[in-house]
Amino acid sequence: MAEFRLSQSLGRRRTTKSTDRTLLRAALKIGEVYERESMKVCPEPPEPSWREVHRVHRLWCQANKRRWNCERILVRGLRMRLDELRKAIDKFASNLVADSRDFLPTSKTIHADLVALCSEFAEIQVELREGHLSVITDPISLEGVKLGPFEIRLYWSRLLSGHAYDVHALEPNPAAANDSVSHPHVQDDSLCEGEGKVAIRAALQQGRLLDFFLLVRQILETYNPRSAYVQLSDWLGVTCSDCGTSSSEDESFGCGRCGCDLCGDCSRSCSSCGQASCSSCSSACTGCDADYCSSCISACRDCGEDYCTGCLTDRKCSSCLESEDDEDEKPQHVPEETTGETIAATAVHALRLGEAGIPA
Amino acid sequence: MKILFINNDGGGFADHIDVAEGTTVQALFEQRLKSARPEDYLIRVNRQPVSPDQVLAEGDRVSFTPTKIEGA
Repeated sequence: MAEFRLSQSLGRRRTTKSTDRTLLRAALKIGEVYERESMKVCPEPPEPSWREVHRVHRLWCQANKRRWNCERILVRGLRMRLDELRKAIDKFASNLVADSRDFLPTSKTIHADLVALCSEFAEIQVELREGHLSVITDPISLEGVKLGPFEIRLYWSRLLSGHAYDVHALEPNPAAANDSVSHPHVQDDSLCEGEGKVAIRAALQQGRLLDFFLLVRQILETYNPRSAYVQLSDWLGVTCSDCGTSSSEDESFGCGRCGCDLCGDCSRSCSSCGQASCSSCSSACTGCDADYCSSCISACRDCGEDYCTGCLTDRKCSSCLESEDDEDEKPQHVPEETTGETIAATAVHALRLGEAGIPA
Repeated sequence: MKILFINNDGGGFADHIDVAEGTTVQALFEQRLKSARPEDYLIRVNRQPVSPDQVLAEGDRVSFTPTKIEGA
């Protein structure tokens, strides 16, 4: 629970004595963090590399004086050590952080920033024990998509590390296709700073906390469609016509027949032509049970069931063909007498070559 | 006179600079951000919003923060 929460209505109020005291305590703690960081051990000049150069130089002078044959080897060794010394000097120079000392923040300047935050944001929260400071933005709406207010939480123990703050949606309306994206530029409570990255780093290093929070807020209030985790046009997702679930445009399919939107689970690929189809535009073959689009499936002309071309012969399914064959094999009924006439029995089996018909 | 000037645009700039006595906020903006529009920036003097014609004083803290900063 926040040790202190100052909620501001529209118009932003001034701080009271008790809130000011809490802000002062927070400023002192934050000031201590900056003080500690500034007292870190300074980098050492490259003395070992310099001593090495001296040592080889002495050997070279000795070899030269005594006319030893190893002079060339020693000169080569001296050049190598001079190269190492140059690299060590460059490294030492790059490790110097002289600029940051010009902007070592004091508790006074930090306190002034915290007081100013009360005027800029709807709410400010201080957790002295847990070591974080939060501001709450006004509700954010981008291109008609309401994203709600966000909490920007700064952890003062991590001020100068790579991940000093979180951005948390308080009334989340995340992207339909990815609920970890609460804002086009926020995923898993982490803001992708983009153009603001360098300025944010500078503000945190120099203890300009008001500038830091303003920078983060302005990024949240700006939409960059070219580089969003999920574009606002896809925010509500694509609704599948068959099952009604939402998915991103990248993960959705269109029915090749009627054009409706489908999720990956409901999209059926025709086993013949490969076209994606919805449930209304595709059927399963009664014979092989595979899915086919309406172009690649036809009805058996006898039973009317749907079959693929592979399961039809002369536009008839195998069941109907078998039934037809059975019909052909049955013996036909022969009447024994008729009135006034003798009728030759209809041969069950036609006369074959070499046979003569014998009247009944 | 010396003021602390903070430009939070791009890479960020924060340093003490010399400005002529009687320089207004608007004049400083035009000097420092020649092609920009003031309405595209949050302009604060000593952490407070000010009018463009406010005259700067010795030791003032002036900051310009873009209203549109594109995330990635």
